Amino acid sequence: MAAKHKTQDRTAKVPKAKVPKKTAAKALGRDSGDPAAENFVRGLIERGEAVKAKGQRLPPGATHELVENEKGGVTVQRRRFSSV
Amino acid sequence: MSPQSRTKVGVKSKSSRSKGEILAWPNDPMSGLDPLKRPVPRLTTPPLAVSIEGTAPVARPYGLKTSQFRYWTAAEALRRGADFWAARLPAGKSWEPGEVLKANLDEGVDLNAYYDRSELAFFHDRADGKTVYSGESPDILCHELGHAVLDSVRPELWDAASTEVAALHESFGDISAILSTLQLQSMRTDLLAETGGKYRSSRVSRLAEQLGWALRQGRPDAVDSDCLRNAVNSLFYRDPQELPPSAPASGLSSEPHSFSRVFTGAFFEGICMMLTGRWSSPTEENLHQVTSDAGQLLVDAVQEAPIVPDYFSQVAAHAVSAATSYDGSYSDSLKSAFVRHGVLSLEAAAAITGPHPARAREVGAGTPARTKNAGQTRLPQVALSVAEFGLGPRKLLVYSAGQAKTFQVTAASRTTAAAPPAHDEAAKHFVRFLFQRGRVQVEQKLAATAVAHPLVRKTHRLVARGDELALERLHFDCGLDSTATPGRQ
Repeated sequence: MAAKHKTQDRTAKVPKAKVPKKTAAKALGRDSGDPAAENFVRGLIERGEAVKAKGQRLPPGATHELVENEKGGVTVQRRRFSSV
Repeated sequence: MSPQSRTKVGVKSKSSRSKGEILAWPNDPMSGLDPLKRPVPRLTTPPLAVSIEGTAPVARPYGLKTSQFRYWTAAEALRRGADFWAARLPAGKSWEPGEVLKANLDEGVDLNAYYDRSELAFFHDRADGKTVYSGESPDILCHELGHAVLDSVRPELWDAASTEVAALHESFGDISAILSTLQLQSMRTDLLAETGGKYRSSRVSRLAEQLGWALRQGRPDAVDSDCLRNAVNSLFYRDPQELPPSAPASGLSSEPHSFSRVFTGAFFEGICMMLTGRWSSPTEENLHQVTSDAGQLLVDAVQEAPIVPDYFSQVAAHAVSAATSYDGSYSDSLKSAFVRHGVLSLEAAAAITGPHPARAREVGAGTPARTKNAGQTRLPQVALSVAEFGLGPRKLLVYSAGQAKTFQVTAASRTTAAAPPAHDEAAKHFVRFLFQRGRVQVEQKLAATAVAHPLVRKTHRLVARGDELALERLHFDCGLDSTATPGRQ
């Protein structure tokens, strides 16, 4: 369940997503065998919808969070759906 | 339970209303309609109870632009939407976050709204000197409510790394807005007066006019010219992997809201065809029945459709299949609409001739239909390499839309890989186009499994020439490729 963060202005004081915009045609998970999932994650990151929130609230428009797990890996977790 | 008995119309839950009246928008604040007097909704009445954060104002009509008016218009829309879906969900279903779904009508500054598994969150912002509250629009309220409803039905969709799954969630939200507004008798009458039930743009098909207007002030190309999204559109399915990650509203992208318009357009056209295909002069009572049936078909479809990369076609196939248990024309209407938007290929639509065999057996046994994927609470995980995004050499774990298909169907563009020889390519492409758009008159005896498109004006006909079939043009038309009124083809 998403953490609750309530303030009066969601567009202010929100750290920018720190995921590099760089993309490369061949790199994303060639070995996963799931090109649809790869394409989905690529789109999230390219549009800035998946971010490292690090305990802070998601910036406007973001729907997913990149979360490091206990084993040092990283997962992408949906936090919410939006209207826009 | 038979489909018919599950979708009775005109049965209102007396317990979800209390005495007195409030004033509420029947549709988006910028749809051009005046507020309606409505019974006071009892939000916290189960099933699908909702609570709005803060103290409820005294229930009475309030002036526009007051917080009290916004409270009661939100309460009325949320209760109406929850009542509609509660009648279509399996008994005992509650929200994924718990028994009561919370809603916060103003969490701060933003031109958006969210469902985050803890609450529905709405915002305000200023545009061109005017303050817009997303929680004032029944379209936005019922869109977000739709996310929560679908989350209660298929929680596995939440984290699926799939464009089509995410887009179907958005489409369900928009369909929720449409079907919820059509639970108002005045809106059904208004829609029939505007369109006669045909697939035409209307204040019902135009979603979130006010939020769309506000967004347009800052980003003119981000939304439609007269709303946020329109369920009447000409968008045709394309493999989302071939689409850019974003695009102007006039084009299609793999961004879920953008891509959702393909399914929404198809399903809304299906609703219009279900109506006009069954009744030549539909009444608002007929429309009420169709909205109930369409909502039930959609719930049945999303409950049973396996979660796969081409999720649209699976949901569509299950909706068409489920429709065979209803009025005889429903299945053909949905097939036609899904084919016209490319959600189902011609081959796929032709292959769906009745209930899925497993479903037929179970329905016959009087138990809820289940597929072999039912009961799976988690999707399979896959590991993606994400070094290119600066995330290091570690793998990114995601839930994959990797269930087993129940219907071996595809969307339209996924069949083009089996391309014909080059010299036939143009002709084959044209014929495929004619069939996809439903422009060919086909006699049942010639092609029993072909998609009929009964409501689409024909330009060609299929005739028998010995052992072969030939395509003959009937006439040229003005180019407005539209659905026709029955009897005028």
